[in-house]
Amino acid sequence: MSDYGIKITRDGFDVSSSDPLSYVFSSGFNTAAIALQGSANQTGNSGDVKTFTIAHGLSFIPFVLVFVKSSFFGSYWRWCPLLVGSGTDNIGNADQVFNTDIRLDATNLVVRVNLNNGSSDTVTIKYYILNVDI
Amino acid sequence: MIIFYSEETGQIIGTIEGRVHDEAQLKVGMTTTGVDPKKVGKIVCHWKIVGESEEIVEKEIVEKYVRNAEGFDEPVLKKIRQKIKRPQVEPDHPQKDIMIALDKNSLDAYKYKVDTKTKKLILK
Repeated sequence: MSDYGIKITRDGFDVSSSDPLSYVFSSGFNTAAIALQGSANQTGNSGDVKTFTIAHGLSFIPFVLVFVKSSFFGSYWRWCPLLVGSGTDNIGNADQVFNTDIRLDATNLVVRVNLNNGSSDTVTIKYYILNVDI
Repeated sequence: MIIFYSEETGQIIGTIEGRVHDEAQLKVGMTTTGVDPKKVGKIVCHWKIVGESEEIVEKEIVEKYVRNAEGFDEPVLKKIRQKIKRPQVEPDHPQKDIMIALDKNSLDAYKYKVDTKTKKLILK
């Protein structure tokens, strides 16, 4: 039997339909799922580079989503990678105040955070590692 | 909770919140400027079940299914009161009072440092 699996159609559509646009979910299509997620925080002085290394163990380079929070941003979570400079013209290499950097390979996700505004700070990251090979 | 610290100075550099840590979380590494990555220690505190308590809770169950006009069976819900057993947990760590406090606010960990000889948390 070749036609087996799970299909869920949208409200009002027959589940026996073969039109993918009528599906909410189908096991026949590769669905991105979260393989691994977590959060961690670090504190340190201005200028410190805080490094988080997450050994994902997936044996391929996965799609990831990383967010960072710091009192520097108030109550907002910011999407990584991120570069924030001082002054009004802060795109590119102008006076970097807050940087985050993501490095990925088939073994690890490495997130580096650097706050350089003269104040110590605690940064929190949240990461979501998907089972999608980039 | 997992607490990362410098094995040379006892300075706490980071934490991972939680009461139970899976293998992936136990493999997370942290380092910061001025700390040798090979000299970062970890204090891992899992929580353990020490007993159980009973309580009465209200929950909804499906009493029956009724076929609607479109031909689909719809559930009819009913509220019941049920006695359940809830596990009582506490940190599996010699300094469990501190761990209970940090479970409520992990950022308070930075008020401590680690005694490099005893591996215990002490106030800065």
